[in-house]
Amino acid sequence: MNEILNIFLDPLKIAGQSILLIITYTVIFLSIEAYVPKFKKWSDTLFIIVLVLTLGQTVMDAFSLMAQLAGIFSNFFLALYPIIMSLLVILNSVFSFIAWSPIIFFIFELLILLCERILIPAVTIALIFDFCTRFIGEMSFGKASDLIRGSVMTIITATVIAIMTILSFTGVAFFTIDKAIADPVKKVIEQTIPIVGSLIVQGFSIFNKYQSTATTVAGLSAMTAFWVAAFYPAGKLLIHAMTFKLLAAIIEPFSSSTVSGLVDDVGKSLLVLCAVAFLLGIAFVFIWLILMVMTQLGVGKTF
Amino acid sequence: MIKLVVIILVGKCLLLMAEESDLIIYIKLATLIIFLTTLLDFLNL
Repeated sequence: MNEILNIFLDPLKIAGQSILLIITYTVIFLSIEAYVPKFKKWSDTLFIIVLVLTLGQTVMDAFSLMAQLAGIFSNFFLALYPIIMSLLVILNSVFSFIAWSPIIFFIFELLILLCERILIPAVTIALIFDFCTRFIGEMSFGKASDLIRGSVMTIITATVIAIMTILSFTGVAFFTIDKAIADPVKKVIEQTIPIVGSLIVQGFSIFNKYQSTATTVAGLSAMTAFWVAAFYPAGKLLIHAMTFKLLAAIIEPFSSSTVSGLVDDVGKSLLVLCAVAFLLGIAFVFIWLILMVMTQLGVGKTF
Repeated sequence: MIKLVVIILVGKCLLLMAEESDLIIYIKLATLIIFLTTLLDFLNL
């Protein structure tokens, strides 16, 4: 039980440690600047180096987590693909009932490839551009990094919309939630979590529509386990990203705009990475659900 | 990307040591050359 609890507590511990460390560094740098005014010229550069050395590990962990996640999902999909396709052929007569289309498998495979080959490297490049921009202020790569982040978010949103549209076409999304309850909650999430808030809302809307089928097939406990497994990496990345945003907000009054800007930019990049993880999570759950629905159809159950 | 990071780090060190504003032009030039060579490599030219 402790191990399971630690999985959820570790990101929060890291966040707390990072905040404490950066506040300590800010106090140290401010004290040195107060006593040695000549140090001001070097302080920004040194502060950035100290930040990279301290928080770089967290950022690298986040990226390696994403790379591992994409690798696992890719292998997982490749392993399940023959089984799903065999079931597709065997259940051809029953299949017309739900009208699953091979285009869904194509989209999920494309999605995983997209994350592995384009989205994750693009976010890494945006992060390096941010570092270069903040390190030498006279030479800005700001527009390039904003363009990359914007493009990544556009691709992610387009993919979520594509998945939603295809699932609606195939008749899977037939359960709708009460709008009066859902709309205020959606607005709060959208406004509270920057950048990825609307994506999260959109993603959860798909699951709300899909939940009645899913719960019938897998049962509540199994569904909870799938959800936690699929969205734990995204949640972890969200905590890291929000930690960086919080750090930027804390140190902004006490340090130069360069330092707080860099921390804020890292937070933005991690939020985009969180969106990528969220997208992979959606793909993971749907692939599982497709397999379960097909297996159930194979033993003669209908919904 | 590694080349870019290296040139930025070296450039910043030079800027801090030399205190010459003209130095930034050379850093920009070096960065541009790195971009060009990377692009040419990418296009197999």
